[in-house]
Amino acid sequence: MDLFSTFDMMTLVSAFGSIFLGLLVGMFFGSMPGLGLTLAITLLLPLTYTMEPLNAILMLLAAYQSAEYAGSISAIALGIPGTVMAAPIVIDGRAMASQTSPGKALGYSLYASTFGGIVGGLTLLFFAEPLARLAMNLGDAEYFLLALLGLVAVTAFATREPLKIGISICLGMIAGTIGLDVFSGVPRLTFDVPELYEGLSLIALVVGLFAFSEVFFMMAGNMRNKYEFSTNDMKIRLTMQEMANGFKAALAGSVIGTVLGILPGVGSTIAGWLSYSAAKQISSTPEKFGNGSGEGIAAPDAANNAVVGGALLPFLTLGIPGTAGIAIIAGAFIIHGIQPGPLLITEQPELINGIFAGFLITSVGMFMMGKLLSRGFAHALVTPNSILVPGVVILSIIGIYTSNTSFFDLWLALGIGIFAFLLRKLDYSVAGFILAFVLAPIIETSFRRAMLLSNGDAMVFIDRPVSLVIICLMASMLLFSIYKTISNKRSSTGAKVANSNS
Amino acid sequence: MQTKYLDTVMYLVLIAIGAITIQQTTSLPEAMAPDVGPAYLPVSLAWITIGLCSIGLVQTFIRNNREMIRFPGLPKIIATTFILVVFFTLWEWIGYFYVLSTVLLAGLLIFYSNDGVLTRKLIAACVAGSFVFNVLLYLFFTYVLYTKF
Repeated sequence: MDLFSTFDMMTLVSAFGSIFLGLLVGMFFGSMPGLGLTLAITLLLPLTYTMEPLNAILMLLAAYQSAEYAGSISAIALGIPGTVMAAPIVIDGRAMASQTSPGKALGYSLYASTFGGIVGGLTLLFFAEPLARLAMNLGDAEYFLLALLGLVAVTAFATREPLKIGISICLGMIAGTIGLDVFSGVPRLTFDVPELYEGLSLIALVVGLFAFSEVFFMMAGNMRNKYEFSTNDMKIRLTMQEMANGFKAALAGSVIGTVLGILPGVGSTIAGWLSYSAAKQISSTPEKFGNGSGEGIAAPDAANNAVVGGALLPFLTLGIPGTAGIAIIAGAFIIHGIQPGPLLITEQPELINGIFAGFLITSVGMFMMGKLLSRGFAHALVTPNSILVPGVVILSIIGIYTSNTSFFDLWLALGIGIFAFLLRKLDYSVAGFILAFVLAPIIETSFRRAMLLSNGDAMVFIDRPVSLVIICLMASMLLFSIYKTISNKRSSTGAKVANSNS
Repeated sequence: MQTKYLDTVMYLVLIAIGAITIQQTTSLPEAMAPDVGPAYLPVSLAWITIGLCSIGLVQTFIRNNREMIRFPGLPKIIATTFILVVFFTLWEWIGYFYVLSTVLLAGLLIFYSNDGVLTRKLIAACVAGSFVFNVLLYLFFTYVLYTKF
């Protein structure tokens, strides 16, 4: 594939500019505990209205990639992960930062993140076309089951209560059905409000779910409190020997991250922890894990960034977003009227080649920006919430309004923000909600089309081998979820008994 | 407040959402077979939601969890929501977004800084910061993105 043959100079310059902006915003938001990658993508999404589709997508992907890495900056500097995915990095990152040097720990993190990003990008490059060809043979029934698989995976692999995840998903799907029915043109759940005829605004929804609700969480405690830490010896540098030491772990993390990224609904939280334990198992020095092991930083960091490329694969080739981040990026595709799926690969090679090339450049750009600015972003960690919160509020308001110039969307986002705050307080999943919201039209359209084409015969969902494989996968995920719930209950009962005995 | 009370209220609210969904969609015109129709998915999801929430309600009563749920910063949350409601209303009625947003940003910066010692210097810094930030926003949105408020 000749990636650069279709681009002119202006396209390249504007694409580089978009990547730079995405990297900068992603790195800032990713490094700040509480803000994170979802908020970075959420606040950038409204900007994409006025951008070329390629630039818009690259900017969001750059933000996604760099926020995945930047989550490690606060994990290493403060011991507080900037993103949920950076949680495994705290164990060895913090230990190495205090025992050896924070710069060394950041070095392992940055080199592994870049490696993971490149592996994810190469996977995308080499497997997108074959997968798209395979996807051409899939029918509506298989698409329906694949989208459903993503939602089942969210429930099965979640760390929260499965019941509440299930409710979050149902609510997200109900929200996704608001608007005109695509088959009959009948308005559904619109309450005669004209602004709802085209469905809930994705931007108002994500800003409400992620930005406003997060802002309410950030108001706890003294908002002028600052984090304090030493910024000595933060220069990122690794010797060849250290790079070689971390290579095996980074490779394992990249493979695990890519594979789990491809599976819809699994995401990088699990990838990070799984790759950490896998790296420990294959390490020649497993005793160092937990005490500042470079491999313990490299594996989850590589996995986190490899997940991005992996998650893009089913999204671009099948149109199925697998993570909340990709679901928000799907918004940029919707805004520009681009339908992800096998036809996109064959009919819009310029856009697809641009995404692939840009994705690889993003990884390299992230490395350079990380090398130059990680120390600066570490300094930004001292920014108190009293400054961050008003900034996020203003940017959220501007983002919602610019997307549709609608005051209705502002009120909607505020209402959703308050509701989402309460849902999050009670341990419901807003990530599951948004994923279900984006998947709802795919699920409904493919289900109804499959039923129409089969003359109402429900056997259409099980009579092909691919369908059977997907159903088996779903069944095993559900069994795993039940097993996990039972074993969690047993261990908590055991702990209660032990506590009462002592 | 005990978590179980808020849990119960939330389950009841979600059951109500499910019931409203069913009530709103059952009146939709029926589709010609073999199409399942526009009401099929929302109604099915609403029934699943009601079912799951009912299970949750039963679980809440059986567990009788006495864990407390706290809302640190609740006064600030309520005040911010009120400030935003006023801001949206004024913006919708009188316009002048950048003027209002400068006031909003300065107000929020001062309000949140009130958690520590609030000096005149700090207030001046908040106002100046808000002004500069909004000028930058104006330049970026007007001359780079060609978006007017």
